[in-house]
Amino acid sequence: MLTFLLSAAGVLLLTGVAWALGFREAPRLSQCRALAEACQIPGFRPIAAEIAADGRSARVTGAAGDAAVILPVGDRFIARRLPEGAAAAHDAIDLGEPFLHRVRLGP
Amino acid sequence: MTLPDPVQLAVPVFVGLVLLEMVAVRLRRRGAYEWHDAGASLALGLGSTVAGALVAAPVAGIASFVFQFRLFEVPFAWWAFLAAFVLDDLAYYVFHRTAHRVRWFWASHVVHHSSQHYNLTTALRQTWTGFFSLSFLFRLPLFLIGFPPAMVVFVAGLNLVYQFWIHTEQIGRMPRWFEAVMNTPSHHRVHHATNPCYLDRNYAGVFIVWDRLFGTFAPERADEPCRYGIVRNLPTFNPLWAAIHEWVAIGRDVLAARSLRALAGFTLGPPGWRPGDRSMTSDGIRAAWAARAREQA
Ligand SMILES: [Zn+2]
Ligand SMILES: [Zn+2]
Repeated sequence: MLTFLLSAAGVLLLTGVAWALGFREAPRLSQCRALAEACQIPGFRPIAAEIAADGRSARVTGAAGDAAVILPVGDRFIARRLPEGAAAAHDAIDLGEPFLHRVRLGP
Repeated sequence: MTLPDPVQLAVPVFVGLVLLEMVAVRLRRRGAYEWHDAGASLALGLGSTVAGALVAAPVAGIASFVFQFRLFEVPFAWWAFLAAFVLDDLAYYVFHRTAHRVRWFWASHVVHHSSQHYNLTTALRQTWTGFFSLSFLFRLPLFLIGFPPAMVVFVAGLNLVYQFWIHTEQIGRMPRWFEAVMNTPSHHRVHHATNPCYLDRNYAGVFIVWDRLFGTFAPERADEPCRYGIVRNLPTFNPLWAAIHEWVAIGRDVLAARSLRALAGFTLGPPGWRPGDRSMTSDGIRAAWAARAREQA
């Protein structure tokens, strides 16, 4: 138990050091970066990206008339294909997976 | 014979090197850390030690049971430790390759790949569900040969300790002779990358010779910077979700399976397998990338 508590303290300490050293960036998406992120979806060919006002997420249109979203996770991004019908939605989008049931693009 | 636990002995060194690497990333502007990501990796490391302790007794029981049927009497001699270390690393290669090619084992291993960062904390991002996935099966041949369980546990610990230092972007290339024989930061960066040309390459633990021998080696290329993570990166830093998300996905797919073939594909097929569609498997992704490269040439 003591070993566990010491280890847990070590985890908190190292995480705190990472925070204190400033490893908490939140980069903004450029057109180029948004398209590159969307390229990571197998079979998706991005042609245009619409960046949200805060620069932290984007909606990307594909060559096949499909669409994807780019969402922030810390200092990195994830890309997800939009379910059919969701492309036109303006409020919260349900991407059908845990942690992504009520996705909003922009602030 | 009682042997020390190499991992436990190495923990203070791990902590020191993580701190050193964080400072190096800041000063050299090479490599990256993110505090949520580092916290999640460290929490996963801590959780894996708890999970390991919980299943230590059944694993020891299975090892002792299999050891009864050993073919040889292997003594606690220096050459036996050396042979155990090399053969255990071969067993690790077979396990690791299977863990990337069979979704059942991938569900347990994916957690190690679930960070989009590559630093020393990534090394500690270890599975919580290894026992459940039956990954201990891959080490049983060593007990059957006759290597005592304590010796195998010891060399397996050394193997894990070796793999810690290779999770870094602070080291470019090691000397040529070293890169030829040993697993290195450069080789293992390729293993953690999702670039199609790097997918499912460099499964080695300690000796990269296994990959060179069995045709799974790919060198790191200067013109192809590694993108770390998994094909479908996680939307959260929640360690519990990182540890179990692929099991949840397997459960969902199995419940939706409409045939025995689909059931087998969803559990024992490659990660990303779907009935009649291989576009999301690493082979499919690699094939699409190669076709596109030919198109553009
Ligand atoms: Zn792996
Ligand atoms: Zn690794």
